[in-house]
Amino acid sequence: MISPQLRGKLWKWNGTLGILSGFFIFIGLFLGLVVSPPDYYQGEVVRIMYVHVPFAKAALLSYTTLFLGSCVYLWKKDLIVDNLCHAAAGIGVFFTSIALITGSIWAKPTWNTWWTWDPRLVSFAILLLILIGYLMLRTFVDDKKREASYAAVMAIIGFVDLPIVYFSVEWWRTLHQPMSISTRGISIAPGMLVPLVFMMIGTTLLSLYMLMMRTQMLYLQHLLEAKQGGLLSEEPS
Amino acid sequence: MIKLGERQSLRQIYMQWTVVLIIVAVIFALAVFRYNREIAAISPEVLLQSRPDGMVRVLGRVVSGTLNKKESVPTFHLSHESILKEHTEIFVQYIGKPDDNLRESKVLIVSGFFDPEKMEFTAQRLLPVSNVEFIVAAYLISILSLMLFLFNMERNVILLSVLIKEEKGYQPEGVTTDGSA
Repeated sequence: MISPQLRGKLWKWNGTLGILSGFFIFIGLFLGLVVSPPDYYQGEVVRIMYVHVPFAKAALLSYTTLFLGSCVYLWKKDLIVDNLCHAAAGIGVFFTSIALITGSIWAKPTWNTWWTWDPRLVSFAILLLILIGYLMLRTFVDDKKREASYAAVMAIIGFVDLPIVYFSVEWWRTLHQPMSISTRGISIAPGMLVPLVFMMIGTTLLSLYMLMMRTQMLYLQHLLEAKQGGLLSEEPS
Repeated sequence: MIKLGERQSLRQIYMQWTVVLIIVAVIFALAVFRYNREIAAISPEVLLQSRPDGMVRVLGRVVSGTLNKKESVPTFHLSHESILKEHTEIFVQYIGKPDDNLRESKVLIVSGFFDPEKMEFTAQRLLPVSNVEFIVAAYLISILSLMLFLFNMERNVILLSVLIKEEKGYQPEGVTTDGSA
């Protein structure tokens, strides 16, 4: 069980995380929209990369958190960890949806289509469906403990999609471009790399901030429900 | 009823978000300024009507069959980007570095000077089409929805804290919700 002191300390750090993420994102946005050069072939439209790539990475980070949290929940059965998983799923849905939408917008001028049945796109869309399924499952079960356990099992099974998303551009011939930053090196111009790195750091910090904020929100919701429920079921003295 | 402390927290959130909105608006304004200064282009029709003196960018399609790369200075005709519309053509000579984007039927932006007497356009740079509407759509969708999502979450946390405190305040010990002691 996470101690209330540790929980308090984590929530205190939340403000710092928010400010730091805002700083990196503002600098990244400025560099990406105003300073960075256009791509030789794609032109200005390459600027979509500065929101699409960090949001996609944040989506993968959210699911990784969900997976790890689910493992810990099944082991420890801690309510806060369950809240964290629930929060990670909600944030995951948000980032995955935005990454898919911005990807589709980027695809139109570069591939001349909004959507194609490419392994990266399909596996990413499946990730969104898994996350939506996870959130739906949480509304179907009445018993809170069973709901949390079933959802954790589903999240662990669904994790199998994550390596497919990540390595799909390496395993199959895809229309989607391969990883620009990998063990093979960096295949991106420095003028574009700097804003991308700023946005990546900012979005990572932001997803952590959102995770803590949403966990706090779900915790307070449960607390309120418990308080109301507890009072209603109390025997008159 | 929201008490003074909570009201201050809410006010703090609104002030924080006003600052965030201002910063985002400034960044977007700078981006629009850069677009107007370095990217925005006119069509060949507008070029022939306005006949500007200085450096100008013209957006158009390389007319199929007119591109001549054999000479030291490549030449071609540039027309309206849409092949469906009635169009005016301008003669362009490209004096910049060799560019892979210079192809038959390719839509591109040429940046250079127009000579109204010779009716010739001397292009120094070639730029791919800006597709600015796609960039605007992607940024608006991602940044606005992110801000809304985040703001809603922060506001909910404060409102839930208020509700929890009220729940505590309105329930005297040993009294149930139906009022029986």
